[in-house]
Amino acid sequence: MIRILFPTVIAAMAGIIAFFIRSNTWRRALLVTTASVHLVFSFYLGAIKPIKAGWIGTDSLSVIFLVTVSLMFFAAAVYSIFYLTADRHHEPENASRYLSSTPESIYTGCMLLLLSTMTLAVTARHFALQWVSIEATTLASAPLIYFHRSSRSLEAAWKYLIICSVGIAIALMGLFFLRMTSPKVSEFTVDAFVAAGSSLDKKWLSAAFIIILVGYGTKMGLAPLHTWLPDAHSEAPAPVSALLSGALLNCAFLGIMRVHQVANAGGIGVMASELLVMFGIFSIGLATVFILRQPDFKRLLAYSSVENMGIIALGVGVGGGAVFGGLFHAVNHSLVKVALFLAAGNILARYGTRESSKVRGLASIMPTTAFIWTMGLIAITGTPPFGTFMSKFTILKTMTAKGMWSLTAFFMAFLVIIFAAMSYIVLKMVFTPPPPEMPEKPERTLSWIMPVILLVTALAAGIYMPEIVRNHLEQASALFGGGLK
Amino acid sequence: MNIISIILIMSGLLLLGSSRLGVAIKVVAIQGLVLGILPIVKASHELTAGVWFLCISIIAAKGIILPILLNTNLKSSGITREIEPFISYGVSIIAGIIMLILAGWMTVRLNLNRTMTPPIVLSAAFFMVLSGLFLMITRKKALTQILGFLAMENGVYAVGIGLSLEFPFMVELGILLDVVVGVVIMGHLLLHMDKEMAHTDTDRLTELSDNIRLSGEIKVVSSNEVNIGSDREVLK
Repeated sequence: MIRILFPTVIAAMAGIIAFFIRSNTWRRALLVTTASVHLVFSFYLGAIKPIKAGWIGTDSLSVIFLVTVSLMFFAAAVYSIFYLTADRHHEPENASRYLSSTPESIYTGCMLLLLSTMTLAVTARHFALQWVSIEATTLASAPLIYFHRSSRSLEAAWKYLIICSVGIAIALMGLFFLRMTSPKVSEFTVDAFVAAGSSLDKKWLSAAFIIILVGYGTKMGLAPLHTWLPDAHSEAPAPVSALLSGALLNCAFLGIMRVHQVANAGGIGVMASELLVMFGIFSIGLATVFILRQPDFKRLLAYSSVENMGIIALGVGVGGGAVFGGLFHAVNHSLVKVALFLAAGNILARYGTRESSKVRGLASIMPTTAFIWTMGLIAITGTPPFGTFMSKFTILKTMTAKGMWSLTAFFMAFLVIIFAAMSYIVLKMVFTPPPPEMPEKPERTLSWIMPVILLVTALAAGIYMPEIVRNHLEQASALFGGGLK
Repeated sequence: MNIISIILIMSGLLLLGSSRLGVAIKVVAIQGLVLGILPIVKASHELTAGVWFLCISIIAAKGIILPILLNTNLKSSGITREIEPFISYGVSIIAGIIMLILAGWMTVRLNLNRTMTPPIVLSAAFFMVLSGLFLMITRKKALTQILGFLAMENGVYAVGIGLSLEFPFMVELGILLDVVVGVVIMGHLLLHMDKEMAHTDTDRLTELSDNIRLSGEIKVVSSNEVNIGSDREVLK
């Protein structure tokens, strides 16, 4: 119990302390130290046997998401050091609008509180506790989106807060319905409800699943409930966009997965899966439309997140081996998308614009970032040998094996269009002659080290999967009756 | 119990029909107070210290603190009326009656057999959720959106009571805390909106879209430079 609460508590305490530290150096040190401690501890929780302690606990599913959250946060924390110092020095003149901000103490404090609430959200086994922590993640991240005080980020933060709060409030109603499926079960936890299984009231359960899917789906960014997502992701500072996309969306999805577990146990698994597939393919399709000719490269990444959330939902919905693929894709997507968002932050700081048509000659001006940007593109579109290819391939393989031909055709078509559209935009940014007035300037190590590490991890995931990772993914898929075996 | 439900329904209709934001805040405050009393009235079993504490927290937070906070926001922004909603007040009230019928129908459809609370509570709760959502969709002012959210959240909470469900004490407190912090942040953003854009009309929040082109960006930059400058000075 204490071991599981530890990462939540330590992040929360560090977050509160961060509000009161005056010295920038100490505050940044606190951010990175907490992130490292959290990371080490998450790996430890992943290595030991699952602990279940009533309201909180770990199983393979939560461990996968916990380690992902922790790793993404660590990357964002290290990058924040670069970002915050660049903020101080006001690098290029024309970037001043993007690099002027709220006090750093609020930034660090909210980041750490976000980490704490996300950790609680992935380790919670009590449905209402999970709800409380998912709503709390919204509250901790809204001020972060409004970090660069401009009317644009204000609009983004407002929409984010209002839309997600309403969505999550609707999810609470769904949780009440879920509780009604079995008033006799004393504890409102995943374990108790899965154990109750077929004794659950199917009518209530169906209603509950639909309402919760819509509620948490808003936060997860499933189309057509995604409207806040491109705005928030494009206006937030780079490390925050990275965290929103790489960690926060996953937490909301975990909320849906927990109810999906109960739905499976309660005998409405087929309906639940069909809904996930529907939302999934619709998200992919809608993202495709918006990725085509997208002028803003941060919005491009945001829509790519909608697409990938769709792929994950699709994978889990299809079932069987695709669940394995879907969960694996969640991890891969986080790795790659965080790297891409951090690289986008570098580009934005250097060029001072988010319009991809104005970013030219990346390869000669920022060689390392250009490398990350290109590799990230290759990875996110699911090109071998990256992990994303493996996960998408697993999903596709299961779909064809199950004979879902029309769905497979649509899925493939969307993936190909997205690949073409994203390549066109990204490669044009990288391999063009640079604008003449750009002065030479070396890239700082802190700005590229974490994205490179993440991309290497994503590459490694596609080539070799360690036994422990495979076991966790297998066991997590088994919760949904899936898995490769 | 029935009286409380009727008060809740009336408050929902009043919210739909009032153009004065000050009145709307008071109505939401009354909802908060009434909601705080509900668990005490409902209690089928002995009142524990936890229930009392929760009720007092709800009354204090939703009935007193948040309304006062929203009132200060209202005063500092100097906007007292909702002007030209997307759907006029008369039509809103008719829509409200339709929503009320819908809420009643939903309650009947749920076909509860074990509930200890009268079904009217659940009808009132569904109506509050629907009317809160309706307010958020059809009104323009940011403050009305916050009030709509609060009304909806109150409704969701009342659904829990209507189904006679209880979550553990700590969780209930957590839910309440989330709502309070959420509204505080929303109010804070509202103040910034008023200061930076000189309006709080959410329908004019249209800077961000996929079609944004060069012209839009440049315009925004020039108008923002000033704001950021002044903002930074305040911070220092």
